[in-house]
Amino acid sequence: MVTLLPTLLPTPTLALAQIAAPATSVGQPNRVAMVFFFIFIAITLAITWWASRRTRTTEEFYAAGRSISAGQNGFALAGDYMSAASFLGIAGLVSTTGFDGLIYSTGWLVGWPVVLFLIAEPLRNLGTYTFADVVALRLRQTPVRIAAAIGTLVTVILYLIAQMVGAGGLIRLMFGLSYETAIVIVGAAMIAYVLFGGMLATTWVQIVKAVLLLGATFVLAMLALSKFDMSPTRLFAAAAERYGAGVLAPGRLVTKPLDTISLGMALMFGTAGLPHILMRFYTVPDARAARTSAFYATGLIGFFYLMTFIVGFGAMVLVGPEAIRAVDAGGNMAAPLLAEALGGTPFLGLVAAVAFATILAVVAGLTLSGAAALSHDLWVNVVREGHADPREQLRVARAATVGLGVIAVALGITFKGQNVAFMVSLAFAIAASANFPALVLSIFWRRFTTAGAVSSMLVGTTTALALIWLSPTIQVDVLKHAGAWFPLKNPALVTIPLSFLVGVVVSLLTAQSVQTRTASFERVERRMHLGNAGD
Amino acid sequence: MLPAVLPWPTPSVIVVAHATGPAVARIHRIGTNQTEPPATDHDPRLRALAAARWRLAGTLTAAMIAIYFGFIALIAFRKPLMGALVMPGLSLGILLGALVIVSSWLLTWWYVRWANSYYDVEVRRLSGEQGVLREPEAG
Repeated sequence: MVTLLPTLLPTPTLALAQIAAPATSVGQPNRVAMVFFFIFIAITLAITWWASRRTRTTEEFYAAGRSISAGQNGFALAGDYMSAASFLGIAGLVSTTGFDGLIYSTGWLVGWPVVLFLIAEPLRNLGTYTFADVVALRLRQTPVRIAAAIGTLVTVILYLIAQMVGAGGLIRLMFGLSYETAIVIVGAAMIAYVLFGGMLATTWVQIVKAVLLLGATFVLAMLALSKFDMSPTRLFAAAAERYGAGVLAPGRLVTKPLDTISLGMALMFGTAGLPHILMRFYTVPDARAARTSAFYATGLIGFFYLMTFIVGFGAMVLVGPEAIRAVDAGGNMAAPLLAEALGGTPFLGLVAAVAFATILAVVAGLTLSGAAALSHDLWVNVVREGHADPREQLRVARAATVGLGVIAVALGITFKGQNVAFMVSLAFAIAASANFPALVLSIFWRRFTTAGAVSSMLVGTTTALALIWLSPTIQVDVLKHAGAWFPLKNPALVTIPLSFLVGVVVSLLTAQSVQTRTASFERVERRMHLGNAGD
Repeated sequence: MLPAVLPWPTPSVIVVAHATGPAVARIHRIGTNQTEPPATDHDPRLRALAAARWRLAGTLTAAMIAIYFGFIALIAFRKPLMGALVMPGLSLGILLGALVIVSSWLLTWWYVRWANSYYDVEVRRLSGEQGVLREPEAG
């Protein structure tokens, strides 16, 4: 179960050795893929140029001037969320293990209703650019902002590393470019989007990518189903006939129930703590639009995961698990191979370009949210104590963007060839343990205090990091030790409750006077529901 | 007007959402020409609206958690059952997995319907806007 998206990140050495598998052009430079990819780059850079003329204030840079409609934001949220891990990893997992992949398909969706019910609207009404705005609202700014920025940056950087290393391996496998070249191209494009076009360009890159990804996945699924009279059950039956009834039942991935539950918790609550997702709710005009956009995103993402399941089984039957593993041991090439089987080299090229575009869009969103934590939370509200003029804010935000982009490229190259698959699930675990509890408590609980918020966020971050270090994920899978001190592969089962507990206990121990906190909570609560209209 | 608050069949789990107290009683004034003053921080109408929203949001969140972890628990502890075929090619596990996704759509749809048809009207009224005289578009 470790292998959450086990290897969207194919170990490059392995991949290289196996590219030579005959009967597929995966791994050789694909002209169609190149053409599609450069068209995508050209379109997104044109969008960035257009957006740069509309990005002059901090509100425009961080929140696209609150001008994004609910429908647009629904697509952009889906674009931000559907990573290459989902597209290639889940399809690969289904194609090689069958039913077990469905655990991921559902897990990656069920966080979205939670985002809608608990987070989207209060966040939009209470904050301006980051989730720390909400946590810090009725608490002391400096300590809360620092703790929240730490949680944000750790989440963002881990997620970035996983995406960058995945991008390098993937692109080499699909386009034949060198790993370093691929990383530099991804880094340069993402810095350009964010630096010049801010949130407006980033949003439209997400929308274009979401439409491409949903469209390509849908076509792929329909082409696969067309071989089975458009009947999913016939497809499943064909898989069972060829590879045994076991492919339709839970298999070896689920050997330890607690591991499964812990991963499920990380996925479910981590979604509601991912900084780049939360930031998107500030781009719409009001809370109602935030609500509607989360609703659309749930629909689109659910649809996408249903499709990946068809694609996975389609690849199992039409390509075959052995052929898929022969190209990439992790199974990540299942969807591209299926595309090649059904639509030849041109369709393979299209799917490869879409996968690349997917990574590019996700890293742009991550970089922007990391830059917001550095500039808005740390520089403006901690260093400058809220007194930075707009031009300075924008300058710092842009400097932070370049800095993070360069760091992402450097880390991507540093981690070349490393198994960093665990970093995606770790990023979810930290988002779920550091960011989600503090956010929920600050919205719901009137007795939450500064000390409670800070200790909850810090304990969530540090215990998640420490326990994953001590877990089989690092000790056994990465360091190749015989055993691990901590039994679970994902720490969320322990760290989420612990973070809530610490937040509550410390708040009760450091209680302010009842009247003070009730008054400030009631003010916050009015704004939470009525927005600025009530003021 | 009250049925407009929850115009669709209400399973017993969600019934709590009806208990909105004074806020519900006042929604009857929609359509009259009466506007009310904006809510203050301590306004009981605001307290009631907040309570109603959290009750529904909390119930739906609990439902989602129960559905997903119920599914995971079945996978973990009832493997043979999940492998049983409902019809040729369709195992119970695959069916339930698809239903987890469908149920998350239904739960979000439910919440959005409630929020658009009831919550938004109340919010506008408590904001002291004339907008309460209009019915918001549904869905």
